[in-house]
Amino acid sequence: MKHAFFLAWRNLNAGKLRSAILVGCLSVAVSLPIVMRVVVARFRNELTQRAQSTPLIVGATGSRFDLTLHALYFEANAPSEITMREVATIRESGRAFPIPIFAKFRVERFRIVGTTAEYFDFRSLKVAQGEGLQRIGDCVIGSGVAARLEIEPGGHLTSEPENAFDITGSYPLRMRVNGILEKTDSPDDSAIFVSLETAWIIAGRGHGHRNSSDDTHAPAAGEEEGSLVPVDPFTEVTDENVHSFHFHGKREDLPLTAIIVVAPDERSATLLIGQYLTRNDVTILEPPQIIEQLMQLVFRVERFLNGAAVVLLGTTATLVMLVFALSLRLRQNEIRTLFKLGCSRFMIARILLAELILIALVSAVLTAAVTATAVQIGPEFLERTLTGS
Amino acid sequence: MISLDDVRFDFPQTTFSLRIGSLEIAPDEHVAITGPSGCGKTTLLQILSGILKPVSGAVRIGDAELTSMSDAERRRFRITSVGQVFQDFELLESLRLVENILLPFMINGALILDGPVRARARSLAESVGLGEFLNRPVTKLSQGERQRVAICRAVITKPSLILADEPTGNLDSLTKLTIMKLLHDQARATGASLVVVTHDHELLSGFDRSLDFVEIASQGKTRKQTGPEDAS
Repeated sequence: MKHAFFLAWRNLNAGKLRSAILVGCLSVAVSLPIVMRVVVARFRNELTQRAQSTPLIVGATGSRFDLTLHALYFEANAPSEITMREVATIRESGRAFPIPIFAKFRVERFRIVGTTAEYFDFRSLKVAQGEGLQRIGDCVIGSGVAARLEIEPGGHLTSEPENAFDITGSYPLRMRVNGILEKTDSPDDSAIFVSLETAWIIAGRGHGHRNSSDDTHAPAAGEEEGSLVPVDPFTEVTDENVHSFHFHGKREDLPLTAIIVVAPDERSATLLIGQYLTRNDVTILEPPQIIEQLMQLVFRVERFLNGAAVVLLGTTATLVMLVFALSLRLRQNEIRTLFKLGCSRFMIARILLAELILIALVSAVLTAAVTATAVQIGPEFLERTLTGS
Repeated sequence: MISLDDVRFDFPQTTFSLRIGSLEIAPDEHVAITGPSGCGKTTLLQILSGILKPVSGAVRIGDAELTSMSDAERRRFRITSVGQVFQDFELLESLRLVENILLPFMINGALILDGPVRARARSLAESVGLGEFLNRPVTKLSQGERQRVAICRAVITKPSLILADEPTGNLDSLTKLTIMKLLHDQARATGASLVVVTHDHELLSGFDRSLDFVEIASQGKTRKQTGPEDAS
């Protein structure tokens, strides 16, 4: 059999392109359903865990999925805003503890999450490097952000405008990176946490004042004496100007995108849910239920893809056999030569079988590699696809 | 001694048959067989190699009686005792030069591929001037070089009979002479009988004997026309 494998290998090697196509098609056809199954299972696990640790959320009435994914992952389209008044309402009800979230802006693909110190306790987030939030303008970043942006405590991040063409919109804020959180293998690793006040400043709901002398500079040739030019392309909170930052209007009117609600017991949660049943503008959701509905959707897609994968596998197997049969026809002269030299039909069959085995083996190795890679990046890809980030 | 005695071969699915009354070739003898296309020369070589089995008559090569052997026995006999050179070389293009020479050892368990065999393959390649190209794919060899590889493949098993079917048909004049000399030299080196089918009368001088196939075949008085497919 050793010589059969050698001759088979030589033949496959001589037709590298044909062999590569066969191996590639087989690997994709086999790995696709495996990857789907594993990725969906892991994705479901992650989603479910996060949802179960977040019993209730409150947000503007609209897409339940968007609101849930936003509150859990800070992703999806930011839902319509609610106000800080809801936080007060929940707190005054005495039935639950509210953790406000305002997450509308980004640095590159990383979401800036405005929240309170309670969020860190709620998620058991710990600072690994540097310190926590000290004052407005500070941020602490998830480990994934730090790794991706290669930034250390003491560095700076600048928020991106919501719309680059909207000159009246939010103005970029240069934030001081105060600390890096421990890795949690959760969406918190990819978030930039700031105080609510900092997030509102980015949203243009608060601002500081600068000393006018800071904004002037010696006139250049051709400029009029005393002309003013913008000095910085962003706002920055410094130790000097921190006290000049303020918000106009009532705090209750400032915006939020979601509120995580921590009820001490099931009864309190049920009463709170009942309280919101009569509200049209604000809704309360139970993330485990919403995620379960979302997973049903994912499972339906998975079932469809699995069916498609079976068809693909059957088609590929048929194509492989067809290609093999055609190649046999092309190799008739070679087979006739082997026979004339004294090769038995059994040996010829062994050579052909060895070719199939080699293709299957290489396909299996490639399938394992593709599957392993896909399983690593698949859940994140699926999560980003579903959340639209 | 190689002998054919009152051999009749019927071409499958036709009414044609080939008859050869008597033919004897001595050990070490170099015989050229000439004749017009389609008269059955290739069929004769395939009967001698055991690829085709006559319906009647006797084919003896040394002590072996081919007509009484099974298919497997004839295959075994063919790969161990007969070296074959074809007009179109019939090398495996997926293999390198030395691998083509060693091919008979890879396709039949009757032969053991060991170190001495590999050394002999290298030595043979060197003896025909291809020692530098052992690992070169045969697709990168010239026509003459390919036929030299085919000759090495035919003699690597030290056969007692070498059959060549128009081995110079696709070669230029100079290369033809070189290849034919090589065949004679290799056959003499191994003490093998050499039977070459050729159209080329310029090449006959190197043979011990030249036979007109029409005369051999006509000894069978009931000979019909030969088959159109396998005969040449």
